[in-house]
Amino acid sequence: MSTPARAPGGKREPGGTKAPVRLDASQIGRGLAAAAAGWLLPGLGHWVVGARGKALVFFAIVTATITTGFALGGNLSVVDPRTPVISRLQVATNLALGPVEPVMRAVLYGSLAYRGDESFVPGPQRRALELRRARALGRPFSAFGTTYLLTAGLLNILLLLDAWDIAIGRKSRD
Amino acid sequence: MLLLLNLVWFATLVSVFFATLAGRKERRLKLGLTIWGAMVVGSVVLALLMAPIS
Repeated sequence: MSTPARAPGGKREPGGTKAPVRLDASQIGRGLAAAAAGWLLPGLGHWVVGARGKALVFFAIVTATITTGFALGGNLSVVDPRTPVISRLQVATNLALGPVEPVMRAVLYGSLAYRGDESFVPGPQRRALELRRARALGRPFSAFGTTYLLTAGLLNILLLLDAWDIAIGRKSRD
Repeated sequence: MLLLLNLVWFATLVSVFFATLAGRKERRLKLGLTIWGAMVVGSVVLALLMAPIS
């Protein structure tokens, strides 16, 4: 006797709790593909699952957020030994922007500088940190710019999760 | 003035994003305006409370 298929999102049990959702391999594959596409380019995950209107809106919003951040002199985060947890989370948030993040970092700082401790950082990293500091000098809205860049990363994380949900059938694409 | 422009622009980006992400088609505009208004008004009120104009 075969088990009946569960409704997307999990079946509500009499006690009010949600039954765990069992995903089959194809659902997981679709979900991962959508999330990976969304990481490659903001909005691409939604495009892949067929939510094309939303994909364009999301691409425009995330791109505008990144552009504003750079225009205001915002910086990409580096791991700071004084605040190891928060700064690592910030770097992870920046990396959520996808492959464009290392490219932006290399263009802005001349190298892939992810660490902020100058005491043991060799030449190119140290130079990168100096460029990073110089970028904020004389720009009163630089901190705002950094916030825009972090916000863009956080928005993209939400987009990856949303694309996953649509791909596995838990959420409609409207 | 630039601060206010920043606030309005940021609120616009975030509210359009969440309205598109979470709202059903027919409720999207209302949700977006609610988020936008809450962000702008809330921020201005908080700013005035923290640093009142004398």
